Amino acid sequence: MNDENLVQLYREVFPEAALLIKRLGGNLEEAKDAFHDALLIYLEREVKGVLQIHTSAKAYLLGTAKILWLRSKNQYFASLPEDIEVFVEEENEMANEEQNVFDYLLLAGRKCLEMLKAFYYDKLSLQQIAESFGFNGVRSATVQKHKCVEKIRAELKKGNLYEKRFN
Amino acid sequence: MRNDLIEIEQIEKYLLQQLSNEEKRRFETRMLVEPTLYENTEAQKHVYKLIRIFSRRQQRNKLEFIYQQLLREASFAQQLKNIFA
Repeated sequence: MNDENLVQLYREVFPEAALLIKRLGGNLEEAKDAFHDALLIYLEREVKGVLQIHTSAKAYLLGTAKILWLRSKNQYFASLPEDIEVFVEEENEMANEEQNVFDYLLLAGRKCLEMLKAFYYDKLSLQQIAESFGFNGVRSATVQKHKCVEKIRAELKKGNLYEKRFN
Repeated sequence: MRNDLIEIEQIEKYLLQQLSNEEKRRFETRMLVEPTLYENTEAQKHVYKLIRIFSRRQQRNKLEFIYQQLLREASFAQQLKNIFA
């Protein structure tokens, strides 16, 4: 989804989501948190090509935001839909990550990080990445990507995280 | 490509489940006898996780930015004001 469509979707759906959360007893901040998480889930699924096409974006976002808010208040008792459960599990896992993880990432440099996000998270093709990051073709983008992974991996290993964890 | 970059590519294919069953079995056997390969694979898995954390954080910042922008639109701000009045 391009930025313009995302803004439009936000403009159109957030007031309804806010009303929904308000009626359940939540405040604006909670409504925004639940809505942002719902949007993240939606966008990640769109990128992976696993959205169910018969549900509108609006219905999906409202339903997901509602479940997320109820769950945050321990008021959701059914088992979570698979898409939400995967997201929540990952978030929990991420929360356990040490605070200094970003130090490792930043050592690789901003351009590396943006490129890695473009490939692994936004799932752009190497062709698109070569174009937008100014690499001389797919092959050179591939090599750069591997080098960025290598740099971060080397920093992680230097930090002795692995000796501690696996020996 | 340098040998260590080729290894990164192989590890990536393993972690992103792009290997055939046969290739996967072979890779797992290699990990058993090559501690460095095992260690590199675990570290690389961690790298992908960090990238995901970084990416989500970027996305959240972007959504927060959109929210702040929309608050400057009178009708959007008014709707929220009415709801939480």
